[in-house]
Amino acid sequence: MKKILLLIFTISLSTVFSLNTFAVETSTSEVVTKNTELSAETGSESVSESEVTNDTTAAKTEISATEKSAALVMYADGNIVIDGYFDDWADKPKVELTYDGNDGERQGNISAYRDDEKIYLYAQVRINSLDQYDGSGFRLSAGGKTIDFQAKVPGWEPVKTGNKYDLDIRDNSWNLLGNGRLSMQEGSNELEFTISISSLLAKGFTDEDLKNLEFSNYSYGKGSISLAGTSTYPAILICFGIIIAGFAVSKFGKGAGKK
Amino acid sequence: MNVIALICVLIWGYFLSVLKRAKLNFYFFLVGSVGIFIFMVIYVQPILTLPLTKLVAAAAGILGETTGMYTSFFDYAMLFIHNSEGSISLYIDYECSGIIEILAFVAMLWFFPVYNLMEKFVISIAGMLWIFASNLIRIFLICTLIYFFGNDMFFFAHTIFGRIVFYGLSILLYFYVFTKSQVVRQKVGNFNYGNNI
Repeated sequence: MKKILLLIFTISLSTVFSLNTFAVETSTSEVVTKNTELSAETGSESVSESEVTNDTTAAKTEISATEKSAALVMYADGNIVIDGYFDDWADKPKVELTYDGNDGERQGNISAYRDDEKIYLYAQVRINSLDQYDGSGFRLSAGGKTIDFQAKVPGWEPVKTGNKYDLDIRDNSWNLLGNGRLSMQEGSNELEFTISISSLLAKGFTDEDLKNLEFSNYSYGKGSISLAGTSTYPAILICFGIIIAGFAVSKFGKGAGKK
Repeated sequence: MNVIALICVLIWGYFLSVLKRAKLNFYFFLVGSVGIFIFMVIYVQPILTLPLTKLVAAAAGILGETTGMYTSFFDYAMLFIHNSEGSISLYIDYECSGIIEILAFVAMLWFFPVYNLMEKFVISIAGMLWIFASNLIRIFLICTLIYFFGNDMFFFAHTIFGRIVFYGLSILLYFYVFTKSQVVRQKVGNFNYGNNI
């Protein structure tokens, strides 16, 4: 009988973990659903594509803030604001990008961060001439899956050095994954953008996949940045604890507490 | 805390009192531990997770800075390891922080029918420090292996080696707190010297 109860105890704890995960997943899926509804509503008002993007982004931010208070916080906040000012990346680790050759000349650098809802990416890349920008060649690998995407300036007008632009992050099927800002500077371009976790989940990635990420950009240079979690898988250890403590109480419990 | 939670706590408390009066230690332990663990996961974990992740990153960073193997960005609960093959950022999230293990240990200890209140308090603190230190050792070993053998070593270091070390140290704690001390106490019993020695 006691062994059965020990089993129930173990199952109860596993259930708690499942409920926790479920709560987070439900929260995420609700955000996706609400975003979809909002996108549909905004789209029906016949406004321009960039306005739709901005409205959807604003709605996402608003909903995210609301949902975040109810969901379990799993990652530290990186305090990154996608505004075209890159001071919030100054204290984040960066990886140098180099030419794919033996000289190893620095081409730029790349940095990445993630929190509960978004993945953030920063890139600074050298350019050889004015008004030059290439937002293609990004690749995200996670859990044995990859997705190629690009950071494109909406519209078809040519970009100019000295200006800042909004960015749409789109996969090869032109689905919107996120948004960002580009700063065109003399000698280099700097860009920062986010990709929503929910958009990657919709692309077939799982929460488990997205615990270990790798970003690269073959257009910008050789090198990649990896983000990895080191979970202890606490459920396993707790099971050990239950068995040991449960056994001890079961075996020696009769005299327990008596001194 | 909403009304349903409050009702659950009251029902749980009533069951505990019944089990306590019936001197059913085993059932008291099970019901009590599960209840307090669930309560702490729902209400305490969200508060403690972020400070603990930053604390783990900061403490692990001291080891990293001392050995020169990796850098800590503890404000963001992140460790950055640069090796000959590339680099990797390890982020300390709630699953890496040891918070679940700490809460489970405390939950089991506080309904373990052996120790008195003061003992439980002291052992809780010692156990939390032990789990925290074990987690630090695990993270340090993972970083060390990645530093020397490259990013390809991550899977082995994280999934196998780090966990074996962490589980080993934690099971040692469980064994000492829940088994050994109880056996010793039951065989020897409490004793003290007379006042006139």
